[in-house]
Parts: sequence; structure tokens; C-alpha cells
Amino acid sequence: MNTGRYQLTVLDIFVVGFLGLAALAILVGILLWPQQQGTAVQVYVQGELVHVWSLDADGEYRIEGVGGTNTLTIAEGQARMTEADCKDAVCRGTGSISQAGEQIICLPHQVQVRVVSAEQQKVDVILP
Amino acid sequence: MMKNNTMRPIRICAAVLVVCILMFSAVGCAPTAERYEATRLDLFDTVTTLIAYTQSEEEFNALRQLVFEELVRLDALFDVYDGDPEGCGLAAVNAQAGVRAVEVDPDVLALVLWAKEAEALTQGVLDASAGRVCLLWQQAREAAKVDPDHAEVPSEAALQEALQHRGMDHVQVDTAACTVYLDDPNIWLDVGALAKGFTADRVMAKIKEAGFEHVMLNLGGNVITAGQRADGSAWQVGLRDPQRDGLLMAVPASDVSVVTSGGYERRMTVGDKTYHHIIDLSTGMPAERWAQVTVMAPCSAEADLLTTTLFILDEAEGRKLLAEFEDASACYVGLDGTIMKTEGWPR
Repeated sequence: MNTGRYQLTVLDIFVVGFLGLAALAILVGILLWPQQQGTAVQVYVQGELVHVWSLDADGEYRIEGVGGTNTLTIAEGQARMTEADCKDAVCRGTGSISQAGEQIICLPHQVQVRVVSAEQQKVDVILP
Repeated sequence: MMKNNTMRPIRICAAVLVVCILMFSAVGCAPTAERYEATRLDLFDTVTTLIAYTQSEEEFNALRQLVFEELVRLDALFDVYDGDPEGCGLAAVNAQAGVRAVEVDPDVLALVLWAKEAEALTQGVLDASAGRVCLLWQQAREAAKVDPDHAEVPSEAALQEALQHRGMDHVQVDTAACTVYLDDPNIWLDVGALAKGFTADRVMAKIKEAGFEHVMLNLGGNVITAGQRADGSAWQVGLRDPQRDGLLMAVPASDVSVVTSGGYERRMTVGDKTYHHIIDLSTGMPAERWAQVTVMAPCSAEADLLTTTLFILDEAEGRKLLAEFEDASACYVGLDGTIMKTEGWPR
């Protein structure tokens, strides 16, 4: 009698169907989730916030990292690392970032450049 | 029928997933708290802002009423300039200096006791009984507002004379009778460096007692927070750059108080020199060591005491005092703009 194979019951079909729908809903949610255009980049060196530059202010910015410098270029609302005097070129290879949460990391110089949105930049109060 | 007694792997997996999905949807359905703000300009001679996340506007209005009623009451009791000289607050204590003991509100008694403690903790750097010195500067600032071209700093003789009349020993407290007596007619209490922090703690205790969880109260630069923002992120307190416009940094502040002292408030200009309001009692003149000192501590009264004192003391003395307070940290901005953070300051 026992063939060693599972037989599908109505409940199994129901569960599989439910999971399939849930997966589809999550996928649609992810695809339709609005990406948020950033307004500024925060530059951290050794975890310490050292610069905040607006993504509207085009130009080349110098970052003094640990044991070397990086150059961040901001143009057309996007930021990318255009120069770094380190051996690996990972940060230059990251490309352009512009969406809130995107980041460029330069491990050798301990530099982190992170895009933030207006909402994230907001402080609740400013002390006089 | 062994088959029916064994849970099939596919069913176990499915059950786990269904539970997970249900948990996520429960999170999604939780009622969302809205952010509300209220500001008043008539308390403690400064701007007061209340920010909170509550489920409804009615709930926020209840919080607002609770907070501002208490602030109005305490402001009236602690106001030495416009308080009621016949009442049960500090204005009455000052009015009866050298005459008689005044029966005060229990909150006034508590503040006076804290002022005594503050004098001892800071070894006289913060001395609420030296109000005469502050009064001379206050009068000079008021005169300068009316006639800026003839602004004058208080005379050396007047300052030295005022500095003679101080010491919290002259402030006699009878806890049982709830009275305060100034035994020298020239003593004048000024709690400007202590009252806001003390008040912030009192009001925050009431807020928590009433069950509110996501609240930030800013008493003119004296910030105290309960919990975080409703989304669980930390409250962000922006520190102004003392050298130029804009922000120096944003500090995350949850369940903590942040208080700043800087030489850019309540100022007067004489010729090309600017004088601010934080007076170093060893000279009678405004302290000129730092551009800004910000202190973070769980207790707002302590943060308030520390920020003013550190602003007056040099770095070594300041660090020594800071070490006596648990969980307190400071961020100094030097006159040249150098930033120095002590241990414990959020990175």
C-alpha cells in the first residue's frame, strides 16, 4: 500500500496555491516600490560624518580618507568616485549613485559615500 | 496507517511560511501614528516646541494640554524677572531678601535644593545666588536694545560689588515648613542656568506617567526625548554651526536629553566687541573659552548644569567634572572651530 510517495491532498494544493499568490504579491510589491531620488550625499570617514554635499551642486569634491584621497564627482544629480589613489579601484568601479540608500565604499581609505533623501536628512530640532 | 501520523515535510514548511506571512501582514495592519507639532513663544523667555507621534489628533491635544499647563505653572514659579513678587515662587523669595522667609511651592523648594547641589558639584562655577551679576548684564543688554549706539558693558566697580554678594549658604531652606529665606538683602537668585533642565525632567516624568511614548520637547535649546520616532528611528537633534550658517552635525537622541550652550545667544555689541550671556563668576565677564558646548545625558537637569559649566571651565577641569556624571558626554566646539567629542558621544 505504502508506495513511499506522497499523495497530494486538497489541503496541499490550497497551501501551494496560497504560497504562489503570496510570492507573486511580494514580487509585484518590490517591482512597484518607488525608488526615492536622493537629495544629498553623506561622506563618512572611519564611520564619522565629515561632509554633506547636495546632489544639485555639480563639481569635483576631495575626500581625505585614511592614508589617501578620493575624488567624488557630482553631476546631473548623480555622484561617482572618479579618482582614488589606492591599489584597488573598487570604488571607481561602483559607478554612479543617486537613489536614497545607495552607496560607494572605499575600504582602503575607510570612506563611505551614502545617498540620503530629504526625509532622512531632516532633523527634528535644531539647537539654538 | 503510519502515513497519517507523520507530518510531511512539505506541510511543516508550509505551516512555517504561513505563520511568517501572517506575522508580516499583522505588522502591516498596525495603526500608524501621526506626527504632530506645537510651538509656544511665551514660556521661559524662549521658543518651546513639542513634537510627538500619537494615534490621533485628540490624543496629541491631550498631551499638548498636559505639557503646556505644567510649563506655564513652572515658568510662573521660576521667573525671577516677571514672576509674582507676592506669590509662592522665586520672584517672591527675591523680593523678601533680607526681610523674611517665604513659603514656596514644593517645586520651587526642589529647584532651590538642586541649585545648592549644583553650586557644590561645580565648586561655585554655577552659583544661582550670583543673580546680581546676571542682572547687571541683563540691564546692560536691555539698555543696548533701546539705544544700541550708546551700549555699555557694566562697570568694573559695579560687577565687583555684585560679586561680593553671593554664595548658596545665604539661601536658607526649611524643608519641613517649605520656606526659602535669603539672609542677605543684596542676594538675588537667578536660576537661568538650571531651571530649564529641571523643568524638562519634571514635564517628561508627567509625559511618561500619562503613557506617551514618542515625544520630543525642546525648551529653547534644552531638548529631552521619550523613546524614538514612531518608526523606531532615533530622534535627530541638529547642532548649529557656531561659526557659520547651517548645521554642524545631527545627533541621534533617544530617551536622552541634549543641551547646548553657545556664545551666540542674548548678546550685546559694544563698539566692535560682542558680549554674550554666560558669565564666568571668577571675572564677572562672559566666558570666552569655547564657541559651543553640547552635553548629552539621561537627566536634563544634569545636562543643563554641565553644558553651562563646561562652557566656562577649561578642558581638563571640564573633563574632570564630566567624569563624575554617569552616561554624560560632551561635544566641544573651540573658538577656532575644532570639534572635540568626549567618550560616549554618539559616533
